[in-house]
Amino acid sequence: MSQSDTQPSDSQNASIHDAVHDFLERWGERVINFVSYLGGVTLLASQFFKTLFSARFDFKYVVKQVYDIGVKSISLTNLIAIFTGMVVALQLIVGLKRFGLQLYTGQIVGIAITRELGPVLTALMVAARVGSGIAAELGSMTVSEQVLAIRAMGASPIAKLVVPRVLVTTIATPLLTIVAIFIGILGGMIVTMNEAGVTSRFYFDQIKQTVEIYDFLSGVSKTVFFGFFIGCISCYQGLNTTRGTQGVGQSTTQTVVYCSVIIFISDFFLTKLFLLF
Amino acid sequence: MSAENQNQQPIIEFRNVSKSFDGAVVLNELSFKVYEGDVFCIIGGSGTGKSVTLKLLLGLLPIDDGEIFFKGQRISNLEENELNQIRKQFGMVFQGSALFDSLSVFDNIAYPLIEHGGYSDDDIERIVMEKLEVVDLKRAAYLFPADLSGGMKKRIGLARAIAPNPQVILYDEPTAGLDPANVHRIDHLILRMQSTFSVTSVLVTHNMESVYAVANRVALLYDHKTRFVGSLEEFKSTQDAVVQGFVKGEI
Repeated sequence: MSQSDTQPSDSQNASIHDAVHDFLERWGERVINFVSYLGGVTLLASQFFKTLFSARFDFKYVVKQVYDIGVKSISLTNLIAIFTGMVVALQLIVGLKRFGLQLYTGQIVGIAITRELGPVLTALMVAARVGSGIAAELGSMTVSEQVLAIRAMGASPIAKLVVPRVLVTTIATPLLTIVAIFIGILGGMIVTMNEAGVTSRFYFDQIKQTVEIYDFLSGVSKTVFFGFFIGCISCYQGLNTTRGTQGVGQSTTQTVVYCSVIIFISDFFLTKLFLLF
Repeated sequence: MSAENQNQQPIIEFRNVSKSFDGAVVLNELSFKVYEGDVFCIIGGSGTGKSVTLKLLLGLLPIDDGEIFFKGQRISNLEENELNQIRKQFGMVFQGSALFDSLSVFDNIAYPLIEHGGYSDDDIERIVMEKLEVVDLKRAAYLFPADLSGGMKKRIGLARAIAPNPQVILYDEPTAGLDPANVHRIDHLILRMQSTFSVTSVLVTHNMESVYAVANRVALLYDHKTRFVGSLEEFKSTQDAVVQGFVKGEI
């Protein structure tokens, strides 16, 4: 066998080289975009803290928005919470029945809703409802030059637009979560009473035995971070909207996707962190 | 004060300012001066960097190279909080008006006054109503931007720009998309700003009728730089083929 039969030809070498080059270029660009995005959101978060303690912002607006968002979102988050509680209880009863332990469904429902499902699902709903709204509003303001107009008047868009909105999501998400946890537990109770034949008193006694104040605080504390992330990401997306109304739609969708991803990723790390204490 | 006195210090000066976006050159060593009391029109074809020039002046976009001066002070190297103090001496009328959708007309005009500070509620109400009277839209005080026509939005944008009595007003295509009656009305308001309030105006437009109606000095942007800078009379009489071609609509 000659050497030319075993070694790749020049044209094969060139095509392999091109494929590797394309692969590296594509992934390199993605990595750069990701790092740049992360840097942008982190910078916005740092500007938030800097402005929070140095510039004046409309505190009345924050209180009004927390109230508005609370009132407008509470039915949605509670609907999600009650059905989550019900379905978790239903699934657990099916599983626990095999061991004759269905009477203790309340214990697991309580832990699951308080520590995990209540906080995460509420945060996801806030991201979908409030985060997308913030991104759309700020995106529209950006493409119609309203944000530039704020800067042109010598005002800070961070103080005027970002600080109040990030505060609103950071405050409203835990408040909605607290209500959602109770509603979710109630949902679990309805199903457990019907399917496992326990009384409401027994169900709550089970929960009181298992769920500690630490579980409640750990679940709710996570949502402070979730709310902060939702605020920062949605403001960043809105303020960096380009390409007109099409860009507004894109920013809105990306906000929900990025917020959801960051909620799940940070949930793991925050849970791990809180378990250390 | 007329700009004809070239010995006077310019209120605004661009020195060899360059700006690119993603490698595409928009402005290349742009230079011009604006004097106090001028109605300075920047004209040029679409995409020649007219609106970018106004944004560079206010520091809304960073420059790549060169220097920008305001009243002798170099402002192109200032930090955002320092620029905010400079910006308070300007008013800007945006191409799309850029009124805040969520605020009423009254609150839109009051916005810069609240931001600048030092005004009582009574002062703010008086000033807002005065400015609405200047643009002849007192009746629209409690309407929202969505309720206004394009011409009305431009006039409210102007009322907002002049509310804090700025030294310089920047107009970005103030007559774009308006009917002739509204174009005439806006031109009249620009002249009134200059004659009544002695405001320096920098106007970006490609409406030659407006240029002839309001300008005392003109700059033509062509090929990423200033092709012509001079008085309106010089502009009208120049033999420069590019200027003549632009006026005739051939470029």
